[in-house]
Amino acid sequence: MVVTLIKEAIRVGMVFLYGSTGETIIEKSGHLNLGIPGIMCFGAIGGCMGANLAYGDGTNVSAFGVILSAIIFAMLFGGMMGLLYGFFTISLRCNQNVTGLVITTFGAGVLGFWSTSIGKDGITFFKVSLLFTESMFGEVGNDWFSQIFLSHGTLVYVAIIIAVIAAVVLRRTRTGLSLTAVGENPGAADAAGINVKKYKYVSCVLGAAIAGIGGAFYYLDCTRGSIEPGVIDAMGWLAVALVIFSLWRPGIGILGSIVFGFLYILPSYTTGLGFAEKEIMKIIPYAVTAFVLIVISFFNKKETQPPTSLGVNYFREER
Amino acid sequence: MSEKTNENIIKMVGITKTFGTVIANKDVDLEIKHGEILSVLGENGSGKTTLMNMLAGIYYPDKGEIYVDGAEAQIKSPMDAYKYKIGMVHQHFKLINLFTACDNIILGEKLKFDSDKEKEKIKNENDGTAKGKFLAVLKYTGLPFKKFGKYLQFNWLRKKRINSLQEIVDKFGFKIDLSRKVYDLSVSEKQTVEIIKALYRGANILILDEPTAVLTPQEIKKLFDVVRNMKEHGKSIVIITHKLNEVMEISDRVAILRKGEHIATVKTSETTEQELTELMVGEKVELNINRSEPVNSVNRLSVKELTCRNREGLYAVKNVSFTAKSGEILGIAGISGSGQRELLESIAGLTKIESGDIVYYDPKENDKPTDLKQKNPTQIRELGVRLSFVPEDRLGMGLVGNMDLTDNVMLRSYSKGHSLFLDRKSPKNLAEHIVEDLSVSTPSVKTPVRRLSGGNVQKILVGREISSSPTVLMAAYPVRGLDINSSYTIFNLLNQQKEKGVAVIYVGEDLDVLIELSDRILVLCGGEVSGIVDARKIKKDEIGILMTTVPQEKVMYGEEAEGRTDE
Amino acid sequence: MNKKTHEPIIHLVKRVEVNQKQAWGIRIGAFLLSILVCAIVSTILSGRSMGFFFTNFFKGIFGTERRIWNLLHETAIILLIALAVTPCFKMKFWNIGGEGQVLMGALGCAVIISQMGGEYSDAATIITSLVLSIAFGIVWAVIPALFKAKWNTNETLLTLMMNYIAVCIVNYFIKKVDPMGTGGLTFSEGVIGEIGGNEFILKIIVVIIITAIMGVYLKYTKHGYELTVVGESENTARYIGINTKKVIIRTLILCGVLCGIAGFLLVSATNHGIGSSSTVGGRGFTGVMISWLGHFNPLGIALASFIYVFFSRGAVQVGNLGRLGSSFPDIICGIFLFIIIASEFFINYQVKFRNGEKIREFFMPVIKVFEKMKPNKEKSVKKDNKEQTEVEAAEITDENTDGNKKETVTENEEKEERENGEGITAIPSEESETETIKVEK
Repeated sequence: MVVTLIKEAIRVGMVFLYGSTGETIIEKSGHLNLGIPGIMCFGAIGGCMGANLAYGDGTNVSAFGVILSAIIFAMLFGGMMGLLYGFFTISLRCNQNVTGLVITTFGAGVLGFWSTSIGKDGITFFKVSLLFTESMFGEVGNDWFSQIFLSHGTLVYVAIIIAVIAAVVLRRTRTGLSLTAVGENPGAADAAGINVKKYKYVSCVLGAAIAGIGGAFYYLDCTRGSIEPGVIDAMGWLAVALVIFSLWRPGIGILGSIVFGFLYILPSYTTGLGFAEKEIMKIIPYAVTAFVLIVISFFNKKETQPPTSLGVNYFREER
Repeated sequence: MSEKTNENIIKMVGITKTFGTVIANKDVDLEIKHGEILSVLGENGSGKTTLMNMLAGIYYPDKGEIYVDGAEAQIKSPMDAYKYKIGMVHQHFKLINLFTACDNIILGEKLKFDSDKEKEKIKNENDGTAKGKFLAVLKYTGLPFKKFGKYLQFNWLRKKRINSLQEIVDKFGFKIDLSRKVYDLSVSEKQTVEIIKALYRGANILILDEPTAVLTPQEIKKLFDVVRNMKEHGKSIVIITHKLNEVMEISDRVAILRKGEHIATVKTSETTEQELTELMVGEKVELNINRSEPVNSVNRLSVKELTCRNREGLYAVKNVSFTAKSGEILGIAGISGSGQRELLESIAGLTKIESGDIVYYDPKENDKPTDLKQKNPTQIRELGVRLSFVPEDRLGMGLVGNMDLTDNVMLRSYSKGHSLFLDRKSPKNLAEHIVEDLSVSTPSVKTPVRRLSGGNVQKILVGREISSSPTVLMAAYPVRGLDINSSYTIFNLLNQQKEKGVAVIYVGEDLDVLIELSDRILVLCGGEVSGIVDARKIKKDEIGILMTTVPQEKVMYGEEAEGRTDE
Repeated sequence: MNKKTHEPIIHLVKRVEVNQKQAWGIRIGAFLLSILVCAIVSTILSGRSMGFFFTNFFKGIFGTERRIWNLLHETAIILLIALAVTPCFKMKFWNIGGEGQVLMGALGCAVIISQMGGEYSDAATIITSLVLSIAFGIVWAVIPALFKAKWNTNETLLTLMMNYIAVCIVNYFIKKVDPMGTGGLTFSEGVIGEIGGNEFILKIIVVIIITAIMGVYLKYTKHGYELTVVGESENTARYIGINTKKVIIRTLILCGVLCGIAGFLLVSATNHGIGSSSTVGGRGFTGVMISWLGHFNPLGIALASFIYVFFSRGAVQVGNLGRLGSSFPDIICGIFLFIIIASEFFINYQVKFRNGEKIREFFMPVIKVFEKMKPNKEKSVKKDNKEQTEVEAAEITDENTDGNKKETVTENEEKEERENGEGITAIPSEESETETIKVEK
């Protein structure tokens, strides 16, 4: 029971991890992208389409090819929306909140539309999703260790690898240093010879692409191919919350995502509670995040603050 | 000194730069020699910083050429400047607070990866043996990874990096812990970081913009040690300043700028402070400001031993005492940043006072002394003490750029009365009055202030403060950036106020104006009063010397307003 | 004299003065363009003719009397929420928690109705529920304001989190009242019914009154003045003695009141029930966008919300008849919003081409196509722009650190450009803040 719970928590948590890793990269460049839910919707569409494309009629398929194709398409779709967001906020200097919200509306709409139209065409993703849910390590034992650590589909490990890479790049490389500088003080970064626009664009597109995989992962793995619109965008907001919870560090985000995943599935695993109490339990991730936000502002420690120029568009002539 | 001492490393010929209608630099020729310390001396607004910014790639000259080591150079960006080995430390540091000093120094540095060169290297290392061939193959396959690594530029070998920086630190005698975060550093340490940054990028010519403005005397001494050290290592250093004593102390040569033009370059060893002052301030300009004798002067505001700190936590005003009298203009002279701003702000209740007293003698209550320290800005304002402060950024304080004239005029008065609604009628009338009386050129009173020119903005600011019939009027740099006619409008306004019996405190930059306009002049130097003198008897160069003399022993002639300070 | 400057080819300049005629030209152009794009998109998606889109689009909006009422009613609700968040934005307090604040208002109303409905008179229930709605709305809006004032907590993120907490609380309430239900409650007692045979008129009138009040509040009262000053420059506010914290909290209380009223109207007068996702249904976020599109000006917001609802209602009809599903309107609204916010950029910034000739040559085919496609109004606006850009093309700036500038143009052309430019640079400089003038400090 506990093992299943943890196993499921990790699985669901990875949706948040993809989203929050992507959003962290974007926020590090000083852009608050509230379009993450919409971007995840797009990623879901891309991932499902990519998987189905590679799956074909189900003969002679390699799991590796299908998964790779799903990842590439999800990144492509998500990245496209990231590019759109970047174009609006970096080049056209539109308000970041407004642009993000529009992308969320748009993305949710497109996902809803797409799901009805594939429903009409009778396309299902159950079969292809089996390739995603099956363990990356083949048959694994029934002991707790294998169940918790080895029984997941490939994309779970991909999420963790991406988060680790992101954590290392952000904290330990000059690229990460430059990106942080762009988010902290674009004027100073500019003076130091960093191409601020390039960094912002790359981080917006890359972050969105990573978040896009999250959408694909949710439908291809967590729901086993059944497309239910309206869920992923709620999860997208939790991913945004996780960024704060993890204090803008993808490394902490890995643990945080599992905690969030745990809290997310907990209501459906607890017995003896009424429906109402289960609703209360759903508050916990948001409430904890709000609490973290207040606490970090209370202590006002410089290292744990949101990037200083978050939400402010950079226009060099105002330097 | 190196043998190249007499060769020019930089030669600027006929440099002209204009901003709109303002000529910042006109036909400036300047030479910087190898391994020398050159001071660029001039009053505020004489175009020193603009000139140097053109070397640093911040501005691009309208006319003229720059030669680096004899070859013509195009410096279009800070990156270009680094290419020509020119580094500049700006007055406002460009550092990221969250990073360590070390990270700030290496930020944005591009490590080059030349694959052809690497391949060449591998080829050369290949000795033809089986082992050598094998290693070469391995290295070839490793190349893309190496390139990728360079691209990401792993910096986890912090220690190694700090060591390489430490070399620079030791070489020039800096004292700083590079692993500390910038927000923990003091101003002088931040400056050090900026200097190391420039040196790390390979600067041979280092430009320091007013490096001593923010430092304590001890820190200045340390800085000068470092500068001399750098000179010994063959670097050329340019120091932008207007402090004569420092010029005499540190530099080999002095270039003097006045009103955007290059006046002279002299060897420090062959000149005196006296001569430099004359070169810097120029001939006495005849101004015809009507100055009336103060009538019925009574004490209106007296400041006793006032001390306060600026935002960086340094002492900005130290033990300042003076009295402002009704019906006279008290001028405040001093190099910019000598505590003028903080002094006025503390009187207006905007800066916290550390010690000392400010007493206001209320004319409405028979000159009853009132302690201003206990009042908040609004209460002080209601007493009739007005501050018309013109900060560097005119619209930053006092006016709201996006609001129209009427709305700006009522910023002060809108809260009067208990009505929930705004009364726009009288502010509108007032705005129209100001526009008419001060000949503000604006399409209408509905125009957002940010669209007016600087002079007009200032007129509104001063006009608004005057309109409320103050008893003490403090005007800081009210004519900064104004043309001569607008300036005279403002001077006349101040004189009118004086005749009405207002105690006017005027902070100005132009010594000629100060001497012509004020009755008494208080000279500040480094936050301390270096003298209170009678404007009718003092000479310009005497004020100039007071401005740059840190008072050893306080000589106060203030209360009687007689004579002047000893030199 | 071989000055060589490599400048970014496209150069953006913030307009100092926005030419209103031109601005409206761009806006109308954007509006028409978005209808066109939506028509094309829906034609592609539904596989029907363009005519199908246009007929049903307008039928959906104006087809029947009831649809017109619906249009006005929906406009009113979105307008109300947008008005609620407007003072916050004017103060540069980025409150994106409209959704949660309205939902809490709705909860307040639902709590009272479920407790009092049927047992007390309708009037008593309605008044009490209005009061509790407002109280709940205030609480939800003031919490982030308090933290912002006290510790400068990031209000965008905090209000975002509080939206979802509100959703969960409402769900809790629904399940508490009706554990086996489908996730919604409906009320029949203690709600506002039809007035004069029309269920919409009350809300529309209420919102018109509130719009007028907000217009006056923002423009003609001391409070409105203060919050504008705080938003424009916190330094100035401090300088003239405005208590910034007080203003923030006061403004958020106002926001809470309006959100509470919106929640009350939604539960008591519109839905006669509550559901966590259906009651507000994203209108809180829409309000944020609308408020921004309306430039924080009540009249502008009214117009923006009308046009937004116009699009969404038209799209609903097209979606229904074209069997495009319930999500189709979201797509249409998304496209519409994208085009409109992009158009704002062209109103506020001037695009200047450096070395323009070469670029124009390169893009000539594209430009030709566009000029054919664009409605006339657009075209004339475009021309204006172009004239200005040519004139100002040759300013030298301090900003060539840009790494990816394209160094494609030969020196000669550059020089010519500059010489052409210099003679006439002065003309439009009143219109646009050219390179920011930097005087020595």
